[in-house]
Amino acid sequence: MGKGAHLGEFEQLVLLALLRLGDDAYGMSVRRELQDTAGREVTFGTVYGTLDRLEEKGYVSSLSADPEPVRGGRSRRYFQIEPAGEVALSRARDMMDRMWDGVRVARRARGA
Amino acid sequence: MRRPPRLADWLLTRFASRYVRQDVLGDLHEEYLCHVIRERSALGARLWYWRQVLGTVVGYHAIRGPVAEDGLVRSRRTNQQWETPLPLESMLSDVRFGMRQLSRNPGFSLLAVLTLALGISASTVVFSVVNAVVLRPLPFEDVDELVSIRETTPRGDRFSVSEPTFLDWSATQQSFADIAGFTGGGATLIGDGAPESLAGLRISHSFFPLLGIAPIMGRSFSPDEDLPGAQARVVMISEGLWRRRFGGSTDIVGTNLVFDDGGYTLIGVVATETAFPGNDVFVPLRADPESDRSNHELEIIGRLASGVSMTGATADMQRIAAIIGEAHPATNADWGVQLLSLTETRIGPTLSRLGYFLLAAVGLLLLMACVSVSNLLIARATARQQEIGIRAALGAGRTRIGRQLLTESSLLGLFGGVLGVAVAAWAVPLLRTVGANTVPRLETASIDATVLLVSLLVSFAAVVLFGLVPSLHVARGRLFSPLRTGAVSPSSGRGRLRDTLVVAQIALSVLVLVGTGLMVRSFVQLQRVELGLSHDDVLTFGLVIPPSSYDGEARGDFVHALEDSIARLPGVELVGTTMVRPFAGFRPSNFVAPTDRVPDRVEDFTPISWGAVTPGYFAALDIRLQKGVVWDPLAPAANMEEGEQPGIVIDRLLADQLWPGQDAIGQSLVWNQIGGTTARVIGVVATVRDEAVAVDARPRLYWHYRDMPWVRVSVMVRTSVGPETTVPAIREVVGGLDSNMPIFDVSTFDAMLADNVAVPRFTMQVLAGFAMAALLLAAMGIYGVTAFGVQCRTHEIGIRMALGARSGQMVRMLLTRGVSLTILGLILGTAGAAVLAQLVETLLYETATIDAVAFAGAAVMMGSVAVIASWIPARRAARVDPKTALASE
Repeated sequence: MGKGAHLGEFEQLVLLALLRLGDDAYGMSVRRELQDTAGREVTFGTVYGTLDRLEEKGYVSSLSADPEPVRGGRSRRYFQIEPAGEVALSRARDMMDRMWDGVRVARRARGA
Repeated sequence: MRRPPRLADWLLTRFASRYVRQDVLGDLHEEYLCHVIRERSALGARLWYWRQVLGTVVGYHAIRGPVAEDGLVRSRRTNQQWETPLPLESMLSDVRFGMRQLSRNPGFSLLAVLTLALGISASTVVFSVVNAVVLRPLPFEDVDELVSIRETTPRGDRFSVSEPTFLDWSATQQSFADIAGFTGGGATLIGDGAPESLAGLRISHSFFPLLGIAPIMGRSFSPDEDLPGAQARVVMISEGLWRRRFGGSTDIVGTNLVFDDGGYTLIGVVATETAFPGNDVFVPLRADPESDRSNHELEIIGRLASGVSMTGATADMQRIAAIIGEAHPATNADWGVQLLSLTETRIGPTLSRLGYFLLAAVGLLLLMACVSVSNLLIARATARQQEIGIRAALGAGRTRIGRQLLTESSLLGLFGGVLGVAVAAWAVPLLRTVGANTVPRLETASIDATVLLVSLLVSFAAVVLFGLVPSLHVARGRLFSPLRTGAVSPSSGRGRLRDTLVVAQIALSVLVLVGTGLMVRSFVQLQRVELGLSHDDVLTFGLVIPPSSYDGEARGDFVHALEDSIARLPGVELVGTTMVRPFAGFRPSNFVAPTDRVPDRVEDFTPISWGAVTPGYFAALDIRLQKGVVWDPLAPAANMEEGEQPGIVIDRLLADQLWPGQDAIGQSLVWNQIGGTTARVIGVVATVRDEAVAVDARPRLYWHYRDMPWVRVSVMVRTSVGPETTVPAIREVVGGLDSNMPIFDVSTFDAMLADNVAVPRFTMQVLAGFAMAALLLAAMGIYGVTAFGVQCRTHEIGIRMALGARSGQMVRMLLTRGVSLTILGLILGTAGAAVLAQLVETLLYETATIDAVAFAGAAVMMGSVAVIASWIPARRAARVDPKTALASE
C-alpha cells in the first residue's frame, strides 16, 4: 500500500464526520462535529485543507448550494464521501483492528 | 456586535488561499452569529473569530503544502480565476531562509528580539494606559456634544450651580437639546446581609437619557418623580451592585429595597461602572425652586442642540444669567456662566499633559531600541561581508540581498512585536491592580483592538526604522567591496554610520534621564512639603449618620458619644471628627467679611475654604492652637435663629488676611453674604495644607461640628499602636451604638496621603524604568562601537605592543573614540533636554525646568556608564599578548 492511499488519523476523523453528518456536511458542521464528538478544536483552514486533499485523492466530492444571507450571501459547500473514500476508511479500520488484535493496554494509562 | 471583525475578514481575503476563502468566510460568518447569540460576550466571539482566521491563513497551507496553480481539477471555481494569485507561497520561502539565518546566530537574534520587545512592550503598556485614561472618549453617546455648565462668581471663579438657577436654566435655555443636574448622594443599604454604605448620585430625570445611558433593566426616572415634593420613593441601582448584592437576579425590578431611611421601589438597573465608577444608588434630584440660591451644590451637563456652537451656547447662557442676576440681585448679581467640554472637565489638563509626556518618553525609548537593533544589524552585515560578497559575486542582485536583509529585519520585528505585546498583556493587568484608585479610568486600561493596532503599527515602523538603514546600506553597495578580508578601518562608511547612531543613542538617553530627573526632583519637593499636621499612626474611616434617624442635635450627640467610646479603647490616644476628610479631593468654599468692614458687594468678600470639626480634631492631627481656645465638646449648638453668635476657629492665614497685625480673638465676621450669619472668632490654629499636597493652603474657617452637623463624617483616630490593629474594636464600638451604621473608607492617614501623590509617583516610577532601559541600550551601543573599533585594530595593537607600548597607553588610545562620541552625545542631549524641558514645566512642583541637579545627574550618569562600557573592551584588547594579536590574520 503506497503512502498516497494511506489515511492519516485526522483524515479518518474528517471522513467519519462526513458519514455521521450525512446530507448536512459542510465546513461549519464538520468543524463542529470534530469539536463536539472527537474533542478536536481546529480552524477552518485545517478542515478545508484536509477536505481539499481528500477531494484530490477522489475520496470526497463537493458541490455548492444556493447563497444564504446568514453567510453574507455566500453559499454552503456540501461534501459527501465517495465509494473510494469508504473503502479507504474501512481499510484503515481493518489495519488498526489487526494491529490491536491481541494487544491489551491498561485503560488507566490511556485516560491519564 | 453582529458584524464580524472587518480587519480579520480583510486578512482572510488577502492571505487565505483563493480556493477556499469564500467557503471559509461563509462558514465563519455563520458560526460567528451562533457564538454571539450563545455566549452573550461579543469579545469572546471576536476572539474566536480572530483565532479561526489566523489559524486558517496559516493552517490551510501547512496541510496542503504549495499548490500548483493549475494542479486542481475544479471546474466550479473557474469563475473565480480573476482573483489575484497568492503572494504567500513565494514569501514563505524567503521567510524560511530568514529563519535559518537568524537561528544560525541565536545570540544576536535573541538580543535584537529582546531589545525590540522592550521598546514595543513599553510603548504598548504606556499607550494602553494613556488611551484608557486620556484618549479614549468618555463612555457617553456623541460625547462631543456634551458640555459641563457651571456658574462663575463675580470674580470669575468656576462654581457649582444652585437648584433654582438650574431650574431657571432648564426652563429658558435654547441652546441645548436638554440639560441635566446631579450631585453627590448615597445611602446605607440594609436588608439581607451586613449593612453597606453606598455612594450614589441625586440626578434629574433627564440625566441618563441625556448621556445616552439606557437602563439594562427597568426604566429611568419620570419627570413626575423628579418634581419637588413628589412622594414616590424610587431608586435605580448600578449593574455592579445588582450583580454583587442581588446576584444578577432578573426579577428584581419593582421590588422593595430597604435603606437607612426606609423602603424604596427599585425601578431600574443601569450600567454606570465606566461612566460613574463607585456610584451605586441613584435617586431623583427633585430640584426645589424655593431653595436657597446661594447654596451651590449641583453639577450641570448639557447636550448642545444641533447646529449650536459652544460660543453661541455661552452667549445664550450669559444672557439668561444676566436676567437671573436682575431678578435676584442679592445672590446672583454679576454671576456668569462658563461652558467647558465635558471631556475636558472629566479628564483635566494635567492628566492629558502627563499622558502625552509619557507617550513622548516611551517614543524616545522605542527609538533608542530601534537604533540599537540597527546598530546590531550593521555589525552583523559587516561580519557577514564575506558571505554577502560571495553571493554578490555569484550574481545575486543588490535588491535581492537587500530584500533578504529586510525580510530578516521583518522577522525580528515580528518576534519582537509578539513578545512585546505578550509582555504588555501580562503587565497591563498588573498595572491596573497596582494603580487601582490612583488614576481615574486606569482600571479600564486593556490591550484592546485599538491598542493592538497601534502596537502593530509601532512594530512595523520599528522594522522600517531599524531595518531600512542597514538594507539601504547594502543596496547602495557599501558592502560590495571585493572579497577582501582582514583590517577594516572603523572610519569607513559603516563606521561613521554606527558612530552617528551611538551619538543619537546617548543624546536620547540624556533626554529620558533629564526628564526622569526632573520628575524625581519634583516628587522629592512634594514629599518635603510641610503639611502643618502630624499624620503618623492615624487611622481614618467614614461614617454616614442618617438624617432619618438622627436630627442635627442627635448627630452632634452621636459623634460625641462615638469619640468618647473610641477614646477609651486600648491603644487609642486621641479622636477627632471632621465633615470632609483631608485630601478628599474636595473642600467646600465660601465667602466671609469682617463685621465692621462688610463690603457693599459680595464679590469683595474674602473667599475661604471651610470645614466643620469636633474639638478633638485639632489634637488628633496635632494642628497647633496658636491663640484662644477651641469649643467645649459638651456645649450645645449655638442657637442662630435666636441671634446667638456661634464661636468659630480660623487658621493663621485667614487671621492675618482679615485682621493683619491685630488680635483676631473676639473679632466677628459675616458668613456667605451681606446680612448673613455672623460668627465670633474664639481660636486661631496653624495653617494646614490638606486639600492636595501640591496645592497651597487657602484661608480656612472651622465651624464646630454641632453647628454644622453634616450627615457624612470622617473620624480621625490617633493610636499608640499600629493604626490598623484598632479597626475590629472600632467596628464593634460603632455597631454597639447603631447596628445599621457601617464604617467605610477605612485607611491610615499615610495611605491617604500616598494616594494624593499617586499620579506623580506613578509617572516617576514609569519614567525611572524607562531611564534604566535607556541607559542599558546606550551602554550596549557604545560597548559595541568600541569593541568593533578594537577588533578592527587588533593587528595595529599587536604591532604597537610588540614595539613596547604599555597597556595603559593602549587603553587610552582605544578609549578616545568612545569618549569623544560620548561627549558629543552628552552635548547634543543636554541641549535638546534644555529645549524640551520647557514643555513639562506645568508638570513640575517647585522645580525649575533647567534644574542643575537633574541635568548634571543625567550627564554624569550617562557619561560614566558610557566610559565604563567602552573601557571594558579596550582594556581586554590592551591585555592581549602581542603574539596572539599579530597572529589574528
